[in-house]
Amino acid sequence: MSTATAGSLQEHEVAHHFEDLEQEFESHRFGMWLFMASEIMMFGALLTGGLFLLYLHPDAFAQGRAHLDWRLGALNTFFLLTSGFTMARAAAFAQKAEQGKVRTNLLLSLALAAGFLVVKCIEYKAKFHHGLLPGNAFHGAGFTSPHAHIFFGYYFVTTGLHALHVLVGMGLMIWCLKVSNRVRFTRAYYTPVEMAGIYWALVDLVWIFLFPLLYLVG
Amino acid sequence: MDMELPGHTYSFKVLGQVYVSLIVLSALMVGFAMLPMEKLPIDWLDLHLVKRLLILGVAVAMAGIVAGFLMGLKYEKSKLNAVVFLTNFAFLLIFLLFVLADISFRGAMDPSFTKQLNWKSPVNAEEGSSGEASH
Amino acid sequence: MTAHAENINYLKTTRGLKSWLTTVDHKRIGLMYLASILVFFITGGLYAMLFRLELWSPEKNFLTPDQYNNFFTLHGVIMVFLVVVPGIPGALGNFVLPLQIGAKDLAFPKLNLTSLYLYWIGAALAIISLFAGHADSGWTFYAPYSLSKNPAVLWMLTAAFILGFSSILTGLNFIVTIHKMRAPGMTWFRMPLFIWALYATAIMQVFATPVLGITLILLLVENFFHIGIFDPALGGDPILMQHFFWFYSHPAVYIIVVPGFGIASELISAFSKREIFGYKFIAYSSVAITIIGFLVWGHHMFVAGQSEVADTIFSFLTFFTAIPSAIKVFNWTTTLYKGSISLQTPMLYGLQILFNFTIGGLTGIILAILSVDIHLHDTYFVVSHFHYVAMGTTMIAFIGGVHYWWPKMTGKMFNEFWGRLASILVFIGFNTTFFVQLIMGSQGSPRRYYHYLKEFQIYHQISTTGILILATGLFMALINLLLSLRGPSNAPQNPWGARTLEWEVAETPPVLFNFKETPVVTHGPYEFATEKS
Ligand SMILES: [Cu+2]
Repeated sequence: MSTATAGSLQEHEVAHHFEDLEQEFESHRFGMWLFMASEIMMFGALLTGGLFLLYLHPDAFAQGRAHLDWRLGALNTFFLLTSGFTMARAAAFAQKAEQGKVRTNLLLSLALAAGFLVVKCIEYKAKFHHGLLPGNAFHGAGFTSPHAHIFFGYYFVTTGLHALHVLVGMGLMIWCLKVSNRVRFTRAYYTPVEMAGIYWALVDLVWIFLFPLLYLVG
Repeated sequence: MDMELPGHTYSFKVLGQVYVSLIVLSALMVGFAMLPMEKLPIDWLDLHLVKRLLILGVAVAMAGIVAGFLMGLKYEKSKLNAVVFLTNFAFLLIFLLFVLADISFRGAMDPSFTKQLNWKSPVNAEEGSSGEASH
Repeated sequence: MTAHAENINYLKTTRGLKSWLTTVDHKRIGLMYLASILVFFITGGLYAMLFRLELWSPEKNFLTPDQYNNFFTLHGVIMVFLVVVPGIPGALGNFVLPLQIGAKDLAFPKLNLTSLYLYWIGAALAIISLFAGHADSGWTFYAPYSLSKNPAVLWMLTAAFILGFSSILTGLNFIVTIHKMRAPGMTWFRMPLFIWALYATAIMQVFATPVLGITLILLLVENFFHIGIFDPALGGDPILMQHFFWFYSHPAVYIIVVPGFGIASELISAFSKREIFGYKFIAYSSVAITIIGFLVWGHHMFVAGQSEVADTIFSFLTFFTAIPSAIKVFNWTTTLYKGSISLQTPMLYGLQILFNFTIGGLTGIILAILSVDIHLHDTYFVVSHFHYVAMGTTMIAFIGGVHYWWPKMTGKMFNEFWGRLASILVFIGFNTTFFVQLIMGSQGSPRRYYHYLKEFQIYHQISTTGILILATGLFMALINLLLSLRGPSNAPQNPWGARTLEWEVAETPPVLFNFKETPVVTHGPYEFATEKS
């Protein structure tokens, strides 16, 4: 995949309003963290809502969970954790200025993320097939709880929003690949990979809580 | 280079260890969930709750590892981002506790109040009639 | 950009509409925010005038009940999400923040432009909503009012979501800038109090707004797919929706008002020529308000059906907000004591803040008392309390701040006589409009009603008269400012004799990168010469 020869890569230049690389890097990292903080608040509130519903309709959650396949959830957990690992390795290789290995690891992460989405699609398809849908569209068989539809409504909202973040994360990986065609990564400048890595770790982080709440507890 | 290098230097060895421990912990999480705990002859303890707390504990440990090593909080010189992260959890805890303070005490003082508002039986003429299985 | 361009006035570096729309200069972005916010302030104000005129008498005058509901919803949504929340940070904060801490720009200039565009997109969606029907859910979007798949409400929900995004990005930008971009010598305790206020605000923007985001997403999803999280007809809990909404919207009240406190500190100190009394107390009280602000949202739900236990806790915690608020009011008052006060236009607004916020704050404590709130909830008392804070404090601070920084922004001085006259009219008009609402509310007149009892007519008529006076004052102020643009560029570098960087060091108007060379700060923001004996 390495198309650009080492000679054609540019060195990164510090933006006009920063004093030096360190100030620039720290600002970007801090900004990214604050953005992550707002993401965590958003998902955290959503999860709190989930706990509230679990309290309100425990039977709906118990019966709903029985219709989710924890093995698929575990497989997806594996995909996400592994891609988190390869993203961190991409950053590590960027620091060592090994542009080729950065790209390999980015592509690996991209493939794993795509795998996650494929499994998600398989799961969604099964839900559609069995009528396990939100609201009035719900016509699942064998439920005694009148609120089972809420569990599936919640399931689709949370996993859907999470899947959207997976897509954005994939976009960031592609962006890093593009940057790697243009700019040389070094120990002093690996900001794009670091930022994408932080974002991707957040996608992991959210899943670490979503997985048990939806698939294991109930 | 004469200036300070940004960030911390990644160690491949540590990354490998982090990965392995995350996989092990997620296996542990599934293991806890599969444990037939409610069959234990203990009635002085809410075993459901114990199970949930165990799973939550594993999830928190995993989150800590992800934030500390993959997101680099452990290596920060100024603990600014760590403070941001902790603030997050403080605010979310507040949200959770206060929402619980609402829902778990509704009608505690005046039970008729909740009945007037018809909290728990909102569903639902339509759903019952749409052929849903019910008791 | 040539090296030479960096040392000329930012208004003149480049020309043409495109150079403005693609600029990343925080000063120009601030001015574009200012113009947009003024447009929406006028729009939201016109809606208020229309439904206040409708309320001149209890029977129908010229609005149908449906239009009336629509108009107060539009007034609320526009004023909250398009004016007071983004107002001071977006317009004045953007312009002043880097100048006051000695930075060349915000940490993320492109992100700043993105915030502005998101603001415009949100505003456009809100305008679409005007044509999509009658949004009638109130600005709070309570379930199930907001779940009837009313297209106008759906557009409004989307608009508010986008505007929330804009607000988060602005806050994020400010926090990073304040932490990482201060000039040499600009220690935390040499920062002007306006910066402290913006910092506290930004924390709330970043941490609370996402909860509004998820609330709006859930409402949208609920509308289309009936997931049953908030909809009681499906087994959901509408009180949960209110928890979500107020977890953001109580801090939002402080997002609205804390920047106004910051401006009050600047104005009162600069026009008393006196070191602000208790600098650290005011700075910390901004941060304290932020933290307490996250603990009290349930006071909006005392009669909504939340548990009595939660009611009691929230009521108890709400009283604590009085402490940092009172610290500010007392410290401003003490700053005035023995100061050499000059009653120029910005200061007249500064003094109004002191007066209005005292009423706004004290009525808040009354509302925090559980038993009293049962009576006052959803009456005009609440409306008045909120307006004493959002209009009487924040918008007055905004207008005062615009007058204060106007010479720096444009290089022109406005006419002092008309400025003062306008400010006095605003004071009289505002208090006439809203003080009677306190009386009316305490007698039990409910808010948001189209018809009302004949006994309340006199109060409504006084209130409506007040808004006409207020509008006269506001238009006078606006015309006065705009007319100054046609006048000569006569503003000196430091017309008010203030001690902060934007006045002492930066030129009027500032150069493209704010300072010809990075300033080195050697004194605090309010060290006036008279102080040193
Ligand atoms: Cu409040």
